[in-house]
Amino acid sequence: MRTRSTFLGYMLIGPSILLLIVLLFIPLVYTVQISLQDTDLSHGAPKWIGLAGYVDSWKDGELLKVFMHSTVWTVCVAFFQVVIGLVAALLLNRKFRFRWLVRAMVLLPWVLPGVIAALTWRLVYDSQFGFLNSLIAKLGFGQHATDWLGTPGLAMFSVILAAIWKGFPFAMLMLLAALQSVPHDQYEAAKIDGADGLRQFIHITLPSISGVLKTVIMLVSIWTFNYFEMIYILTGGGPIRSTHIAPTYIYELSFGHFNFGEASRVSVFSFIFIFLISLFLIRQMHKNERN
Amino acid sequence: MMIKRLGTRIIFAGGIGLLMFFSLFPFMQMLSTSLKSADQLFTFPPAWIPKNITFSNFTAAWEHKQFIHYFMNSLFVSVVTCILVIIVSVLAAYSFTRLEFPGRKFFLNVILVSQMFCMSAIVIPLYKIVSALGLLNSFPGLILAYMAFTVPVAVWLLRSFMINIPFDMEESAMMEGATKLQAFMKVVVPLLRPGIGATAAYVFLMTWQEFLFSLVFITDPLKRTLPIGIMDFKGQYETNWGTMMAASIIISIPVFILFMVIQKQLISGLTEGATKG
Repeated sequence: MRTRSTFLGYMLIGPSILLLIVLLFIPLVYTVQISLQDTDLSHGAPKWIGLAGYVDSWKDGELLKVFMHSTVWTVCVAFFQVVIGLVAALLLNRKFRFRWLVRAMVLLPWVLPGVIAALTWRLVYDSQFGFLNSLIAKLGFGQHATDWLGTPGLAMFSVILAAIWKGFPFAMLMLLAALQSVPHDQYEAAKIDGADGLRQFIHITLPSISGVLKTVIMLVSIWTFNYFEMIYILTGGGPIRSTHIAPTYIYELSFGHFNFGEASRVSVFSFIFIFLISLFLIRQMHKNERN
Repeated sequence: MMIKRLGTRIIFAGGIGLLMFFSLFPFMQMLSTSLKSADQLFTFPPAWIPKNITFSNFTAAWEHKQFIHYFMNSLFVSVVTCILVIIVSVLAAYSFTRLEFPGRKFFLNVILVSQMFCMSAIVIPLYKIVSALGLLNSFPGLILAYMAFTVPVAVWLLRSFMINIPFDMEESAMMEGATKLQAFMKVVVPLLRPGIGATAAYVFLMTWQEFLFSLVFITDPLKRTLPIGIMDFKGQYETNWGTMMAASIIISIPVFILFMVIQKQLISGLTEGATKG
C-alpha cells in the first residue's frame, strides 16, 4: 500500500501547493484587504472603511440586479446544459451507423475557443446578416429584423442560449461515459420484470449515473457563474445593463472605473456565493456515497 | 409492434437530426462567412451558401501583419504552461496516490477547493502581484497565472489515472532492487502516458483559448495571444467578418484535431475522478 514518507511526500506536493498558495490563496486574502477600502476615484485617495463598504455596496440596487442576473444566468444555463446533455447522451448511447461522426460533430461547440464561439454567435444574432433571423424566415415565420442582442428583454435570453450551446457537450461527454458503465444485465432483468423505458430510466439509469450527474452539475454551475467572455463580447453587459453578471461587473468596476475596492467586494460576494453552492453540492455527493 | 418500432426509430432519428442541427448551426454561418467575398458579405437576406466561393479571407487572415505573431505567442505560452503543469502535477499526483504523510487528506482538499476559484475574483490581486513582480506584459506572468488555474484540475486528473495503476507492479520492481525513482520511471510512467497526454491536452485547450488574463495582463500588441489578437479584425467602425471568421477557423483547427485524438482518455480521466473522488 502507500509508503509512509513524510519528507518525500511534502517535497513532491510542494511545488503545486506553493503555486496555489502564492497565486490563489494569497490573492484571495489580498482581495479581502482591498475590499475594506473605499477606492472610488471621485472620493479622492483610497481610505480604510472596514466592513461599511459591504453594506454600502447594496444601497444603489445595482449589485442586487447584477446578482439576480447572475442567478438567472447560472441556473438557466446550467440546467439546460445538463438536460440537453443528458438527452444527447441517451441518444448517443444507442448504437447506430456513423455514431462516432455524430459524436465528434456534437462536441465541436465545447472544443471551440470561447472567444470565437462568442464572435460567431454575434454574427448569428445580427439583425440583418445573422442566420437566426434568416432561419426563422425560412421556416415560414416571415421576415423579421429582430435585434437579438440589442433588445433589453431579449438579450438575456440570447446570451443564455449561446452559453448553453457552448457548454452542453461537456455534460453530454461525462454523462455518456457514465451511461456506458451501467451494467447491461440490470436492464435485462428489468425487461423481464416488465418495466418500460421510462421506469428503466428512473430506477436503473438515474441512480447509476447520479454520482457523475452531481459532479457535472457542480462543475457546470461554477463554470457558468464565472463565464466571462461570452457576455463581454456579445453584449458587454448591455443593453441598459440588462445582461451584466458578476464577472463582467467586476471587470467594468476594476478596469473601467479603477474602483478596485468595490470590485473586490463584488468578488468576495461571488466567492461566497460559489463556495456555498459547491459546499451544498459536495455534501449531497458525500451523502450519496454513504448510502 | 412493428409500427411502434418504426415510431421510435423516427423519433430517434429526429432527435439526432435536431441535435446535429443545434450543434452545427453557428458553424454554418462561420464557414459560409469565411468563404464569401467582401461584396457578398452584406447582402440581405444572407445567402447560406456563398455564390462564389473564395479563399481570399484565409490568405488575408494569415497574412495579417501580426497574426503569425499572435499564433506563435499563443503556441509558446500554451506549450510552456503544459510542460510545467505536467511536471508539477505528476509529482503531486504521485505523492497523493503512492505516499502517506500527515495532512495528505487536507492538501487533497486544498486542491479540490482551488478548482472553485473564479478567475474574475482573483484577477485584481493577481494583476497587482504580477505587476509588483514586474511581470506585466510578459509571458512568465501569464504562464504563472495559467498554471494556478490548471494545476488543480491536472493534479485531479493525473491522480485518477494513477490510482488505476496497481501498486504491486512497482513493489515487485522495487523487490528486485529498483529504487523508487527507477520503479516510477520504468513502471508508472509508461502506463501513465495516455493519462499524461489527456491532461496535457486539457491544459493546452484551456490556455490556448484563455481570454480574461490575457486581456488584463498583456497590453503590448506584439505580445498578445490569439484570443485577444483576433479582435484586431473587429475594426472601430466596421468589423471585417469574413477575415475574422477565416481567422477563427485557423485558430480552431489545432484544438479540434488535438481534441479528437485525446477524447477518450480525457473522458475516462474526468469521469473516474468524479466517481472515485
